[in-house]
Amino acid sequence: MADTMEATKRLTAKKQTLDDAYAAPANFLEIDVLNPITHGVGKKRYTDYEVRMKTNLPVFKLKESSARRRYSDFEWLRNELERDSKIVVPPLPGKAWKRQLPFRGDEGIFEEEFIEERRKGLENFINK
Amino acid sequence: MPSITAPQMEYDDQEKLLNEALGVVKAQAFQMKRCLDNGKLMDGLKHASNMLGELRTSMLSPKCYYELCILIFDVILHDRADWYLLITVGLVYIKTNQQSRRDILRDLVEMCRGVQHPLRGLFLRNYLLQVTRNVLPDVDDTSGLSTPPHEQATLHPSPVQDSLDFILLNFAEMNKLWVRMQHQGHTREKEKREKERLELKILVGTNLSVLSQLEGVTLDRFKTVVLPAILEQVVSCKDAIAQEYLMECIIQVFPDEFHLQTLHGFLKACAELHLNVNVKNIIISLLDRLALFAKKEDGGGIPSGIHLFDIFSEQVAMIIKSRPDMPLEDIVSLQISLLNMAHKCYPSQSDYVDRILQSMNDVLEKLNVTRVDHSKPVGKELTRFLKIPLDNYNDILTVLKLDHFKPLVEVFDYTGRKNMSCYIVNNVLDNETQIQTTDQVEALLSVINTLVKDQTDQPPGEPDPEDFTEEQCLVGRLIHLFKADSPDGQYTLLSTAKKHFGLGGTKRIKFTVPSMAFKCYQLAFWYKQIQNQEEKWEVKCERVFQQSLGIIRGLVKADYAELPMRLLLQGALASDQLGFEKRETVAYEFISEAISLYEEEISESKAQLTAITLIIGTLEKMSCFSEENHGTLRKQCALAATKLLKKPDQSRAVGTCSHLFWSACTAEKAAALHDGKSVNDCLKKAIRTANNCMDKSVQVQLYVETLSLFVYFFERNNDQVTVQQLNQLMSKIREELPQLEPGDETDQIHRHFNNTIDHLRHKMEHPASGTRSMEGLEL
Repeated sequence: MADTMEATKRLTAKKQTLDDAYAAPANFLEIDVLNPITHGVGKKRYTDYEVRMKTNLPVFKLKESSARRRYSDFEWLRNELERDSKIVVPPLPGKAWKRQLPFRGDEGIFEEEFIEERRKGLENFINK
Repeated sequence: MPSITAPQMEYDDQEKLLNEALGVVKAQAFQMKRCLDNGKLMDGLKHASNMLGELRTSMLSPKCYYELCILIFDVILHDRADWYLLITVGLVYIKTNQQSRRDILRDLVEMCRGVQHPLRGLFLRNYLLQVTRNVLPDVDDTSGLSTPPHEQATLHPSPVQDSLDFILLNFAEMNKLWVRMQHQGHTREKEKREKERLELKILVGTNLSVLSQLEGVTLDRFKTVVLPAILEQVVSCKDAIAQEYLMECIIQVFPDEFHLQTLHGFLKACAELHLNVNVKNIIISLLDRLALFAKKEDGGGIPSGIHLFDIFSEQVAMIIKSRPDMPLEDIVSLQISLLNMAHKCYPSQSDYVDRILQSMNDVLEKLNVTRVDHSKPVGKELTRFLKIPLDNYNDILTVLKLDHFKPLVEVFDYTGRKNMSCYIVNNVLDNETQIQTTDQVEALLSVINTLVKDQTDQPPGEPDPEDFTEEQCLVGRLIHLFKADSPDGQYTLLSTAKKHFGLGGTKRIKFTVPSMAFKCYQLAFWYKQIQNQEEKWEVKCERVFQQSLGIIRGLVKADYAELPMRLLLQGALASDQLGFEKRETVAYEFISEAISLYEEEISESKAQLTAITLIIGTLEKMSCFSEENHGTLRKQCALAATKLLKKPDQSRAVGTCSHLFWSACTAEKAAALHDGKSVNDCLKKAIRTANNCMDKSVQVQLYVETLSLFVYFFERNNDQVTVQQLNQLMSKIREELPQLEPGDETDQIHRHFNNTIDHLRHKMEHPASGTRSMEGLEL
């Protein structure tokens, strides 16, 4: 009986301090993919995006960083992630083969609408 | 890593998701009911759990989640499970086992910590609050307990205290969840999130309203436990949305009697709020409520021990000081509420009002504000501010005693000052406030200075004539409220006013001089009224007339003619009626000056006729002139009449002159002149002049008009006017009348003539005794 009493005794939880209670969460990480720019001409033509990161996670030294990366860089990252781990890496937006065929009437993968769609896809991917 | 949550989804997707969820809930609810009806408890609970599973989503926006909650609450009000089920079970325990109430309540409120997702947590805790609010102990029932009170406190802690702990903890947790919502999702969607948070505020606020409804929350508990605990959370959360709402909530849900006793703590917390919080609104809300409370008849007013004014003016000053970025208009708004409160709670303490005005001045000075644009928010607030004492006292004299009122009016730009001046004058007029001393006149005219004379900062060019007229008419009306308590006082009062209005320039004096002149004449009659007590009343009357003459001459100098002429004639009449020693001298001065104005300044023929008619009319009414003076004046009038430019005008004016020889009287005769021959000469001259008119229609009209004059004097027994003359004139009219072109004008002449004939016929048929025989009249 005494054991039961002991076992079901209410724990006195340590009271959370007010600063803790209302502090901004320490797991903030936000990556934006923005400002697409198309460079070069002809076969060397490509589009890159600014990848901007903001965080307050203690493991990161840099709390803010920014770099320009193109689609193939994302592909590389995805392969690296998948290579040695068992985690399920989310898919990238499609490669849009059709758009890369010659003799198209429009700009193909350099159409503004397509770039915006891909930007959204990349942003979703990197935030998952 | 943070997941992508509801806010990133489109509205349509939300709708779809919600519909799916609602569908699942409805289906599961149906299954659950069927199972329970058939006694399959375990299966029923499984369906209940499936249904509640829908609540675990993070994909819905607050609005949709709320809709889902409502439906599920509906179902589980009968059959509950999961978190909600646990709460329900706890509730049943409490109801069946009162002893464990305390522990279970604490367990429940602690248990809910298990849900840390802001949206789900908020709704869960709201549910907890809603179902437990009726079982919360609200009285400290100590009957039947044998333990002495001091031991009770430790052995059986107060049940009410338990309730308070329960709600306050629930409140703190809900506030935490609510504030945390702010950190969810992408920073881009901050505004959207803020909007969603505002939609949920009532959930957090309900804790406070439940607290306020507890009987057990006495003033003492509110002061020592409840308010400090709430304020601790509010201040520490450092979140503007939460702070603004919760402070307002405290004000609204708890009674004014409580607020009065906890002002210091509350206001101190106000000063500690986030800089983005609109503290102004919170203070104003509290001030307005307390001001209303003080006015309530049954409320007993503000307890004498609480110096509401001191506390608030101190705290308001603190808040202004602690927020250097507070917009000036907000500071003024705060002062407005303070001022309203001072008026409502301390109506007799005008020093409080002046202190607020002073602190307003200090603020402006500190901020180096030398001009306030009336159209800017600050100007609008300041206008509102300054109207408060005016509207409350409805007595400009009290307002003028406030030392710091005038400097605030003067800080406005030109239009602002003008508007404020008009408002002041209207207030004086509406309340018929009498301005009794020269000091008061000086003070008032100095505050409304902008209406009295030109300003260095007034916009270039002519003001809008309609507005200007309206403003200046106000000033004209204001003068009529200058009234001292003695005639001598009134004289100095008017002298002071004259000095100020004299600076008004030609545009303004046109509006002020008439009032001033009439005030002078009125004063002269006042002297006459007290002639028994005032030996020197006649000298003083003369002095008043001199003053008014000086004032009217100001108009002449400003190139006005008709207006001063009328005022002079009025003065002549007043002097005549007063019957003081020098009345003739004064009256002669006035009327002769009017005549020379007529001769020298009035050149337009229509205006001339009107003017000479007025002069003749005035002279006819007067009786103070000696034969010599009267002779000169009436000759002057007759001469002026014949000198008019147009023949019809001449004819009419000469006709009118006839009265000067008949009903007018002189000082010697002290009765009507009745100079029949001169009258007849005037009338004959009027006819002769009419003969020279080219326009037949006008000519006949003049004949008919002069016929009326003939008839008038005939009936007054002027033996110079004969039946033969009447016949002659009538036959002339009858001859000419048919030849006139038909039309409205001719009709009118016809009617006039026929009326005259009818009148004569009536007189012939009913002769009054003592009237002349009308024999031989050819009608």
